[in-house]
Amino acid sequence: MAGLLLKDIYNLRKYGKSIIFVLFCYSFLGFTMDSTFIVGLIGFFFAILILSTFSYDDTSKWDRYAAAMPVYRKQIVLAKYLLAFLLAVIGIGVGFVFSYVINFIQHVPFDSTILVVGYTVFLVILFYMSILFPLVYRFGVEKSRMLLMVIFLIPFLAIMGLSSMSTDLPAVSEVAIKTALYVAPLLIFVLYVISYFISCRIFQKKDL
Amino acid sequence: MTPLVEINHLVKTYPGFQLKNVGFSIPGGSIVGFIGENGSGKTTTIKLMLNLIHREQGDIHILGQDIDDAEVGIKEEIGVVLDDSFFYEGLTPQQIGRVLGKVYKNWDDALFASYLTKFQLPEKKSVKEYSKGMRMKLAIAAAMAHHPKLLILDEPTSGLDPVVRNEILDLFLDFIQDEEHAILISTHITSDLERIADYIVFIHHGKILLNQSKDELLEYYGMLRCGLQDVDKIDQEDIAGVRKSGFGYELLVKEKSRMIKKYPQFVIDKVDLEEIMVFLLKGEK
Repeated sequence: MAGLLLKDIYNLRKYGKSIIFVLFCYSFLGFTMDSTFIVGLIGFFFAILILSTFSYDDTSKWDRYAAAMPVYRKQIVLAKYLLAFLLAVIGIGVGFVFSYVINFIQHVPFDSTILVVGYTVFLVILFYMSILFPLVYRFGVEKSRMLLMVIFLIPFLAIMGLSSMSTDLPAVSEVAIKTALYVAPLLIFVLYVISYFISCRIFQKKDL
Repeated sequence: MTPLVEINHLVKTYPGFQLKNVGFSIPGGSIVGFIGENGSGKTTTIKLMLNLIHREQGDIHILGQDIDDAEVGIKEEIGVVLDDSFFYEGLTPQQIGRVLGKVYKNWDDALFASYLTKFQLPEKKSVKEYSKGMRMKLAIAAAMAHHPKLLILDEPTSGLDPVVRNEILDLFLDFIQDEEHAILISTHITSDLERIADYIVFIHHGKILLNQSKDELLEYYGMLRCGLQDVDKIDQEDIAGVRKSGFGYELLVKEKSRMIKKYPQFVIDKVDLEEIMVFLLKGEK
């Protein structure tokens, strides 16, 4: 298990320089716009790296090699779910640091909404991963990448549709938002676990 | 003594290809050479043995245990070289060693390092910069550094120059000095098998055509050479395969020693594995 995680960390570390370069570019954006934005941007950027690890596995036919080692197939899947979780945590963490530094340089006082933004982005990432992973195990990473784009579009289209129907978005009470923020992690966690079991089922049956 | 590996009645169907009732065993202290053309079912059989693909029928016993009961335990004792399936090429041997060290209980860092030195593989260079031969040597080193009892090798010597190939074959011969060790090796380089194999399993269109000790096999078949007009003097039932050339016929004949007595007027030579393979498949047509 630890070995499987370590393998992906090595794979990604290979691209450390590119990652730092991208972060550097993003930080410029952070200066020009709202610094809370950068938390989401960096968070998603790190989360998407999981797709690269799937691509590396594809090109080297890693899954076959891994399944020949003394590990259970569900461990191979679990390692990916753990890594995605870790990447989301790291991404949000790095995002916080960047936005803090940017705010500090610009003498902008600390605003606690950034914590809410980070928290929400984190949940959204896990939500997307829950949907993405079974797709990757079923259809492979390249097709899933396309599917992910479509999935990404749905909420945007939904919001655009809503806003074009009425000039005002439906009013939501603060209590409702707060309840949603409290309940969401539980739901997302359950979804993430269910997603893991679905991926395991798909992967167990697969001919490698 | 029970064999290290015993597989029976393996069946696996793909569109346009079926592995039919494949079975053989691998005794301890021996090397089994697995031969057959491309697409004959060698890799499919190997994948079935490792439970990488799901079989429709058959059973697999490795080290006395059913693979379905003790898959992970069994795999601790197996070293594999799979056809082009390995670590991502961005990694270095050092990193690969660290990963495998966390995967295999019996991983031996010192042994791995000694293989890297022996094969002249730079530890900190990424595999991307390795030649094909170096990659193969690395895969073999990675397969052997956890003290496995069984090696399952899918074309481990392809892409290697003769000098390195010999070095590796010696390593394999060394490995099976221990009676509890065994190797299954699939390859197209039949001369390698002539050097190291104890048994030959020959698969064709998903069926086992031959499963015999190598020495018996090479003793059993002979190559009879005769002129164009002499071919009628040979009984059809003695012929296993034919090749016609401008000057005459080459006939693969069975039971060489009996044939030498039966046809004293003809020259009957020794055959090698490649000739047996090629002629048997030709004879079939």
